[in-house]
Amino acid sequence: MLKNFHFINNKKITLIIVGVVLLVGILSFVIRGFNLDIDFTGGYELTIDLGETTSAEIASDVKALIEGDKELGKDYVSSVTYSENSVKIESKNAMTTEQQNHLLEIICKKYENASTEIQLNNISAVIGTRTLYTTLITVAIAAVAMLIYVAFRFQFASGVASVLCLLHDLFVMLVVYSLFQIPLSTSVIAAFLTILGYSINATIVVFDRIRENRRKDDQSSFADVVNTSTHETMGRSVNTTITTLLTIGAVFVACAVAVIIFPTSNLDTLRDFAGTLIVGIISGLFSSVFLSGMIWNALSGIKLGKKAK
Amino acid sequence: MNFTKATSVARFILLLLVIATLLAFSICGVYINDDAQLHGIFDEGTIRLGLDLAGGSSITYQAKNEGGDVTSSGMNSVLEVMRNRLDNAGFTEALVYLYGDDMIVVELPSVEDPSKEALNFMQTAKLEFRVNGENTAALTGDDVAVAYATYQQDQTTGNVQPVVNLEFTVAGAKKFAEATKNCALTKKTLDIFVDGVCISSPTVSSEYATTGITGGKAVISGGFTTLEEAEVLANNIDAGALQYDLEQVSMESVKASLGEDALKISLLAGAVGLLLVMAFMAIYYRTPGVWASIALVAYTALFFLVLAIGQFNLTLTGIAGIILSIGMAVDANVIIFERMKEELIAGKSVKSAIKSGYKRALWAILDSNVTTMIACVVLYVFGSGTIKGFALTLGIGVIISMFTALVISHVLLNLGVGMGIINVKAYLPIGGGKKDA
Repeated sequence: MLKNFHFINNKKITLIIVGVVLLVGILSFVIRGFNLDIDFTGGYELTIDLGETTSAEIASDVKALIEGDKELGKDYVSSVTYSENSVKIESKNAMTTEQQNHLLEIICKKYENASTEIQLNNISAVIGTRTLYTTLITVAIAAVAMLIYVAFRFQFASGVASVLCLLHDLFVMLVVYSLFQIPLSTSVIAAFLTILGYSINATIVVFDRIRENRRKDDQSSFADVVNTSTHETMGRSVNTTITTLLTIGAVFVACAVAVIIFPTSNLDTLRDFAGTLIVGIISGLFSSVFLSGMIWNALSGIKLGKKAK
Repeated sequence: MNFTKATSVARFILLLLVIATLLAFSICGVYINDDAQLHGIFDEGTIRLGLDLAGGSSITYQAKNEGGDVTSSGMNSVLEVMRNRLDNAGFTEALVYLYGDDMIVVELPSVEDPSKEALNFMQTAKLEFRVNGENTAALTGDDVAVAYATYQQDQTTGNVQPVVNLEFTVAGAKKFAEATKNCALTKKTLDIFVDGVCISSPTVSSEYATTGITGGKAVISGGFTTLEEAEVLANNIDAGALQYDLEQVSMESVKASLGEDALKISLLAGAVGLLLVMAFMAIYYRTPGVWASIALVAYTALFFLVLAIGQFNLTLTGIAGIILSIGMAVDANVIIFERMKEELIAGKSVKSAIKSGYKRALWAILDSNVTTMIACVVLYVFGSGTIKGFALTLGIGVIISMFTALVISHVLLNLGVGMGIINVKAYLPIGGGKKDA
């Protein structure tokens, strides 16, 4: 695989791929945007007593009922949960009094014993946004700490390269969230953190080999050393990706199947989570093989150029 | 069978037995006596599910300090008091942590609709004894060593009523004697305030005018209709008063993102994934792959044991950390085996390929794991609830995997050689015999 591919001399191909992803991503951010979950947008919670024991099935029936309604529709229901005799409808948008009455009407039509009162609560977006905010700051601190370590163990240029690869992988994951309109909830944090750990690991193994080969061989150009090292570590890069994908893939497949068999289970959260991790891990493979060495080479070139002058 | 071979086989079997025992301990639990026992990892209650998995409520409070700043040491004392109170109130699974500089978040897994009674740990329980008419407190809750609730018969009415018994500290006992002496002399009542409300104004009879009431004990009666109410106050006095006023900023019920069944399915999927990884390693890397798979079993057993002993709150991010750490656990072995392959292709013997494979792969493994540990430490120190969970499981995983991938798999490889598995073919990965690169 890619046996005769020179990773530095053929960097045009890599750059084109990255460029396309960047373009698709930005276009998607602008056109499609994000499907922000109620964690981030805030919203309203309407509790209705149905007068009978509720179940997951009833909750999904109620959701379908509202989604299919002409006056309400998808914008007025993001999830329906159940407890004892009541259902809780979460909506990002506020319902007018007429809409609330209409909601009661259609619910009473289907569930005869339903109460004619709605208990309305506000859901605050403060916590969700604040959590995301602290996460981003924490991730930034972690990235800087890792950059310092990598710069110390290797070179400053390699530290920058590893963090750029990390940013690339996180960006790709965000593109997936946007393209497939996966609800962006606080669980995106877990996905980000996972890829943070994975991406850096993959990059460092390549860098370690570059460092070793450069010590052994001071005849070849740095570009050639990067190329050889990338080829030499290819087996590891691919196999570790395979083993990681086996575990996360098993979770993804199990959840995807379970969602089809039991549509009312809320396994779609975990399925989406596993799905984005898979994308992040593949992106991590790409960035560690194609990008990391290339960026290091480009950055160290700048440094050498300055020295020459 | 020669002597070296025999000892290798014996040591190999011993190692397998140790790993099997660890796995059995982690799954079935260990029982020595009631005080010293370990529950199995799958037993109910061993793994505590975090808010995002179990569902529940999350309440955020903002600390207010009238006429002063909120300091970080003050917030830490509030945090400690809250933790004690939650434990006293039976919310041992609750999570309480600081949020920003002046906020405290209390997460109550499984409590979906927190009513006011459920939140009685929030009463500030500021206890004060004041001599009637005076503005400064003669004693506060800090002077109380122990507080507990009992029933007591009222001496005048004869009714049995719930009361809070107080036992003062040495300093508190002195203050109490002083205050009661003062009351007896001036014939004033000793008013007992809880959270600024006077709940009882006992008189002190004149016989105490010389020494005050000594013995360091007092009883608060009145103001309680049930023993539970008295217990709440006693517990809260015991846990200490909150240094700041806490104002509730938000209260949300969090729906469980995963139900019981969902968790079972994902656990099962994780197990299948683990088996697939083992199969992949054994098929692709042959002999070393088999050893790596055994090391992975040891990894799983040790991880289960740490989880069972540590009793961590497991969140979705925590599960992500576990999945990632499994990937990383084999990663170290993959790096080593790829190195060994290169050495074998270069014509080295199996024994020396193992030796130099480990030596040369060491730095790559150390560097990548140290970087991950740096990330874990930063995330654990600076992150909040769910991020901490991730950092913790990933960090534990990295440490255990360093041991299993570097030590256990190495021992197994050497034992394998000792047992006579020295054919180079058994160590070359699929297609690895061909010279590529």
